[in-house]
Amino acid sequence: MSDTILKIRGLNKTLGKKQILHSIDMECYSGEVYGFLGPNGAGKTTTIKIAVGLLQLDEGEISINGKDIRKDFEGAMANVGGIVENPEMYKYLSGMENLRQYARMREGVTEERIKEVVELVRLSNRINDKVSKYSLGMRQRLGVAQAILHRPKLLILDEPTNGLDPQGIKELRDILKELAHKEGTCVVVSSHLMSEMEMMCDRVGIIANGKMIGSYTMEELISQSDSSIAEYVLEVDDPQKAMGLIKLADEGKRIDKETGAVVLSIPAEIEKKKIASVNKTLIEGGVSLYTVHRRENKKLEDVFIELTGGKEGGVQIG
Amino acid sequence: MARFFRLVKNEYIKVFKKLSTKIMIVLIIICALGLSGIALFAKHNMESNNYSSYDATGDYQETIDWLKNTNGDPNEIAMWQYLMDNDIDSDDWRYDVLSAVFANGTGDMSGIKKYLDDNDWRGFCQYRLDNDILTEGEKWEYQYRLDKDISFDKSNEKKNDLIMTVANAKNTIATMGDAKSDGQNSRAKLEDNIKLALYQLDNDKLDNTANQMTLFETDEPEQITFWTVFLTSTSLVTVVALLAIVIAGGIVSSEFSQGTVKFLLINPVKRWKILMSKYFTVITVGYIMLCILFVVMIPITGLMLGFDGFSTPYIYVSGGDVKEMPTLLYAAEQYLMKSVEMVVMSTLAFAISSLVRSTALAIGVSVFTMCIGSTVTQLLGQLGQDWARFLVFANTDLASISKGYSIFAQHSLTFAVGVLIAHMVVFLLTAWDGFTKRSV
Repeated sequence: MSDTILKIRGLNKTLGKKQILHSIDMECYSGEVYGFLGPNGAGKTTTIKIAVGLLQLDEGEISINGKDIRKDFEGAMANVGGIVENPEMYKYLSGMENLRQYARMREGVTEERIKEVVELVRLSNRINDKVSKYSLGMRQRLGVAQAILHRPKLLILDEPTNGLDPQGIKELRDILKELAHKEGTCVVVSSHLMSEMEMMCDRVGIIANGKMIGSYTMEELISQSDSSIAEYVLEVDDPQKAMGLIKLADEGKRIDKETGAVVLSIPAEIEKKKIASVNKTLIEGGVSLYTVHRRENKKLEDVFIELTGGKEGGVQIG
Repeated sequence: MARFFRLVKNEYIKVFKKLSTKIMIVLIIICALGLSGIALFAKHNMESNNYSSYDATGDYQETIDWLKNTNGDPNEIAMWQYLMDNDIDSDDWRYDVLSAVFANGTGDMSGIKKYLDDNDWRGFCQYRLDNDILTEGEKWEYQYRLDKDISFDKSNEKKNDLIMTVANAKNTIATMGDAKSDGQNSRAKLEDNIKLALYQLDNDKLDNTANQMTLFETDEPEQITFWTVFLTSTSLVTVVALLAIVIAGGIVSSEFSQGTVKFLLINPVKRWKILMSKYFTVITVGYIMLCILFVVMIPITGLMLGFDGFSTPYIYVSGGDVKEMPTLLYAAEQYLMKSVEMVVMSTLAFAISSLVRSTALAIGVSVFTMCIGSTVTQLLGQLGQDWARFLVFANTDLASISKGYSIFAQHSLTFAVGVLIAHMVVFLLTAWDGFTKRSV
């Protein structure tokens, strides 16, 4: 088993009168990309800020690489790099001067290492320009460079794909995967988009309304989404009549309110046989059937919405 | 410690890379140029407005006529008549001594006329010592002139002035009797003045920047010299203080307003260390700007007004002993005394900067306090509100307090320094508390 790098136990935080975090537990390991997923306002940024010492915690324990952030702040933070919210750097300094600022605050960052990191985030040709002339994407990359300067064991990125174009997102993904899988860094990435997490994470922790719903490997989530129920959408001239004709349990058939189409949920093992018989029934019953469409399996996005979604507290897996 | 100085280096880079800091340094140089320029301009102005010499004889006639019409003292009329007949103008030594004789003595000039006719100042002094009733000052003066062979001549102007200082002080002390003070000057102060003047006379060090006027007090072109301008430049320390406040007011709050604070605090450095490196930077940059002002003032003043009198020492009496130091050192001391206000006010600005996100607020409050602070304190002092002595501004002018010029009674230097330190501690604790617990 890999080492536990970030460990959060029973974290509570109240801002003003509102309790933002309720007893958060979380563990992240070296060599993995951990997705920290939740809707906007769920408490992702607050959790991250507390973990990197930008906010004080009310209750609970956080240790980084085995060092408690309250008892040994400098020891704990020596192993952390990160970007929280927007990558705001000193605009009147060049990218290089900014990196040197952070290098001076950490131990063992050589000039060679700075150059190496600049290469890694592909900023070499613009590194001596003032940051005020950088695009958001370039600043994001400079932020990543800043975060990995000192080869931290824990890299925390808060919504790192904000403002990046698809090419930039892909590059970032590759960088993060390389750091985790080759250098053994524990990478924690927060996001509110499941689709992003799907592509880069090994594990995902889901938070909603300040409560941790659970942590899952991608496989667990995919098996959850891989439903044994197939969905068929039937476009007909008379949905009400069709509903009457189709011989299925009530929960297996419904009319989509928006499109007016009939939606059928059929167990996967009998779907072909069943849909053929439905087809026959409708034609014999005098209903005009225009199209039959099989829906793709439920997406991860839907699983995520289901887990965190409208229903208070979300749904437990398993 | 090496780590701390790495933090300080970061802060220095941030401060000096900012355009505003560069502008401030240019402003300091402009102020130095401006002050010397104004001095040069004033000097030229005074030179071109010089009054042409007037006809002294006509004046004597008028005085004599007026005295005759009002039944004036016949001795006095005789004196003016003598001056007119011998064509003695006010630059002549005999003019001065006659006026003095008439003012202090009997006014009878029959005895001294012979010496005046012969232009014999030694005979005059000896005759007066032997025959007239003299004041303490006069007794000393005539004896001293005879002993040291110093004539009344205008070429001895500087010596004459010093002799007059001693004579006047001796006269004042004589009238005091046993009192410690005559209401204006203390006996100790007068005795110090005598010591100082005698030291200068005996050691032939006739120039002393201790009596240097500031530029605002001068009214003759020859009074405006290198040191006039240089010592006046201590007022420019206030400008440097304003600039230091601008830096202090922004050094913490701008990290918050620009969002850079997150990257600053995500480092393995405790917050109080970052705060201390920033405070250290504020204070040292303030003194660097002060040094810049001091250093650029030397060539600028020299180029505009020349270096005449540059080597004149600053001679003063301290603890009953006459001491001497290069005036440049004295000027540096004055700069340092004036810098107290800079330190206190930039500490205030720094504290506010640590609590708020707005740089403008931190700078605004501090500058406002500095502008009205001393006025309000003076006003409270005059209204007899003795508690005002605990305010910062009652204590920032250490130079005056050490010389005993304070609106508050029994105001000691120790008290002032104590009050200042107490204020600074409160400011810094506020900054520390606000910054280390602040949510980012």
